[in-house]
Amino acid sequence: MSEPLIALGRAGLAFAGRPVFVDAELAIAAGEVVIVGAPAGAGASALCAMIAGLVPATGDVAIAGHRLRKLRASSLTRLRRRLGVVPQDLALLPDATARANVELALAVAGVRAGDARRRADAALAEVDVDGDLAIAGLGMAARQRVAWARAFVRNPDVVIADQPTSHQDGGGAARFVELLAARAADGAAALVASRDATLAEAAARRGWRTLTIHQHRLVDVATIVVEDIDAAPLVEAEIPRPTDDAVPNVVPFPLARSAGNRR
Amino acid sequence: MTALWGVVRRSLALVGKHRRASAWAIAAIAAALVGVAATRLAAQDVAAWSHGARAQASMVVYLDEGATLAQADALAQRLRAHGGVDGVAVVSSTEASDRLRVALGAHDQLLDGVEPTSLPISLEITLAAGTTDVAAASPVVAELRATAGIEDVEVTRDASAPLADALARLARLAWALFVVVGVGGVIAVAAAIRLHLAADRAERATLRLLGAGPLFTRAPTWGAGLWLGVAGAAVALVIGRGLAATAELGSLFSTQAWTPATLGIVLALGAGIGLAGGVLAGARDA
Repeated sequence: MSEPLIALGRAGLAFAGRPVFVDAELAIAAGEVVIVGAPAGAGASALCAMIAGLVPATGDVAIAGHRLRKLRASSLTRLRRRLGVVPQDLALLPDATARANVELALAVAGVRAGDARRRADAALAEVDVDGDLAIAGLGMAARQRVAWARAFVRNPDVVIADQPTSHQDGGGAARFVELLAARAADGAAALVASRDATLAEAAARRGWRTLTIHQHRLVDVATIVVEDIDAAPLVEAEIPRPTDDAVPNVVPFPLARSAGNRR
Repeated sequence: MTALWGVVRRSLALVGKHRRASAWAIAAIAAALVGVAATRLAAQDVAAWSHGARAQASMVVYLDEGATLAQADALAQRLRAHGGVDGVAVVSSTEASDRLRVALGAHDQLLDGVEPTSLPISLEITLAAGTTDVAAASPVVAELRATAGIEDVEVTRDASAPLADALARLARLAWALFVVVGVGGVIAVAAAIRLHLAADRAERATLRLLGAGPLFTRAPTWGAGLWLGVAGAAVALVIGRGLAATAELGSLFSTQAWTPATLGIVLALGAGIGLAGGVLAGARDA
């Protein structure tokens, strides 16, 4: 079995002294797509930044077999050129055109101007965005698609996307799934942080793995267990009601207990 | 070549993006170069004047009537061997007559009937700076006065002595001014470019995300500094040309000194200041 393109080994991340991730374990092979669905603020964006090498992490974070902690800055810079990243804030240049934004990714990789333009136009045609339009004049949905084009134009080995369909309707999200599947078919490994139901459904249909973040740990959704309720104690609470002597002033109700909600 | 053209294009875009800041940077460099040029040219003028003043005779030896040029030459040779003597010039009777006519100007008819050969041959001796007063008391002067064939020895005041210190101070001021305004120009350029970078912090973050190396990120700032420096030098040359046409400063900025080499030096200085500013500005780039 070939080495995974994305690998986390007891990886951890803290911010301002507070843990974001603890002992994260993950392996994503070539051609595999993993969807991370987590509540807002749980750390999905931090996970993407950690894997992209944008924030320092403890433990092992490896991309295409390269452990990020062992890399020199110049090597890490070169490694980033093998990534296709769609950040949550899109990181587009607002004063430039859609084409210029996509061409920039190619220029950084040393692609000649003529080839860069041709490839940028092709990538933008895939996402149905006019390359001559300035980013500042585009809506968020179109800007997001430009970010997809920029991420995919270099045929990356690894795709990291943070909420890539947050501004899309069902059709737009489906388009992203098609593009992602095409890159996976070409051998890319992908990690997508998303709360989009469309992506979750697509993951289920295509057999993509789905993870979540639970108590600062990256876990498979299926491993979270909700305990059976047995003889849950009744909790008496007084609930203000309109004056009516025929209605009792106490409403008993059971309190469900789960592993995640235990106090 | 593609990469170089990309750097040129992006550096020009950087300059054009914040025109006001770029204009201030160009103005700062131009002011720096004009200020330095003015100081250096003034120092050169003072030096030339001082040299001319000292070139006038500090001591004049008048030979007796009937002395020959050969005797004058022999005496001149003897005096040149003395320490503290910068030079000795023999002034023949004819030359002395010509000088007198020039000095008399419209009244030169006073010399009508005067034979040029009746004027004494003289030796104009240029003493080293600061030695005139000492020379006056020197036994050499007394010896000369006592020498046969010498009518008189006249020691003139050294007009340039009080200016020697002033000249030295002016020369130091020129270099200090060059350093101060040069550093000011560098800071102005760096500040202008930093303004670009501060506004484009998001762009740098994007470049980092895409895997852009330090050269890809910093080279445009170096190039922008270079363009600002060259533009500043060009503006300085235009200002200098304009000042050369004025009555007050025309002699100072005379275009006779504007050789291709001079123009090249000005452009190179401006480019150097701008490039230093660009490197300084880009030094903290991620």
